[in-house]
Amino acid sequence: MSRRLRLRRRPRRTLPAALVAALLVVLGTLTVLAAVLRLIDGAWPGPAERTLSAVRSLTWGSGLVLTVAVIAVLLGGWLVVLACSPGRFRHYRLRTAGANTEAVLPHTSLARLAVAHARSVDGVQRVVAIAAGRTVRVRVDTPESSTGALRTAVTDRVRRALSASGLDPVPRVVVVVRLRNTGGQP
Amino acid sequence: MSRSLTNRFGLGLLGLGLLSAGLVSVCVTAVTRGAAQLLPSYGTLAGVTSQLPTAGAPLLPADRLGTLGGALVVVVAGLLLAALGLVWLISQIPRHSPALPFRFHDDVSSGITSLSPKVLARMVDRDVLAHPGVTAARTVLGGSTRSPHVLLRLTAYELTDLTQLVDDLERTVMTDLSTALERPIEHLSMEISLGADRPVVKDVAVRDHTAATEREPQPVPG
Repeated sequence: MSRRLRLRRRPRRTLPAALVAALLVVLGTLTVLAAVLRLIDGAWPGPAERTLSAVRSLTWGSGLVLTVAVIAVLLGGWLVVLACSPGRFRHYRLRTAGANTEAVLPHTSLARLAVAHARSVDGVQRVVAIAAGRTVRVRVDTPESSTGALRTAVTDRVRRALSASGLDPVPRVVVVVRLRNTGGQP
Repeated sequence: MSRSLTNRFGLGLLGLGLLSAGLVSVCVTAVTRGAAQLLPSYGTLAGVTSQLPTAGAPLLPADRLGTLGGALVVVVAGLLLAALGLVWLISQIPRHSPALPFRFHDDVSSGITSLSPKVLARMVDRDVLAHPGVTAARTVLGGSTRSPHVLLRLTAYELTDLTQLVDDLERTVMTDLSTALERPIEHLSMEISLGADRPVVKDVAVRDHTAATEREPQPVPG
């Protein structure tokens, strides 16, 4: 850990890389297994033989080849996009006093903060929040009909909480209120 | 090479391979299905189109997989593929390079004073946990006595005053640790996650002198 740590960074594409790597391991192992059995027994094992004959019987112009080719194009394009696009940040930066200090807050934690503060507003029944980049979207369910007033109240509360949390810059708050009739209640 | 760069390079290489193979197959299929008439039948293109396979031609030329040599080639190729995948997969596991012990001595002839960063890190953990709202803390120290780095991962209660917490941590951790190490901290990184767990009030074990019993710390009501 001699290098300076950077907490707020672009995604490292760990999950797709791990999936592709695991796929390579499985494919390689199966291939080696089949070929070794072929060397021992003198004939390809059943599943390998069936796969081989299926591949041998493929012909140009068939629908199957076209389908596989289209899937390969889509998958390859997606992998190239994953490799080339920088990807979104997953942390917000928090203001710190010192220049050699860094503090970050994960997007999921900011959503949790928004939910916790929105839930404290009177009349709120259920809250879901998503924090992504410069916008925090809050969805509120309420049994009350005065949705406009509630929307203002929730927006105010969440906005105040976000600016008090020391985020730099403060994300925009978008609140959607939905009227939910809870059967048993008058 | 960093993990991000390795991953992006590997994914990009594989993606380009798949993309080009798929595109070529789609083009050849289109030609075999009658798109050849759309192409001009003169110049170099005519030569190319005449080389292309016709509809119904087998995708793969006659293979030699039935032979002994073919199987051996397949074994080697499979081993390479599996080894490559395994190395790539293992490189995804996060690793912390072992932190060096902090060495405080200048001259070995007068004695050696070294301190394991882990010991110091546990002490910082305890300090951080004493802050209001903090429910979990994990400190990693790195660098050397000359240029110490601190990585602080902590979880706080979701309604905690974050500005206050960051401010306090920055002040106390930097001050206490640089006092302990007799050096200014070169870099402090904090990752603060929020959780629904309410903090337990610490150090409130009430000692009742008449009954001489200790009570367990109680969670904060509300």
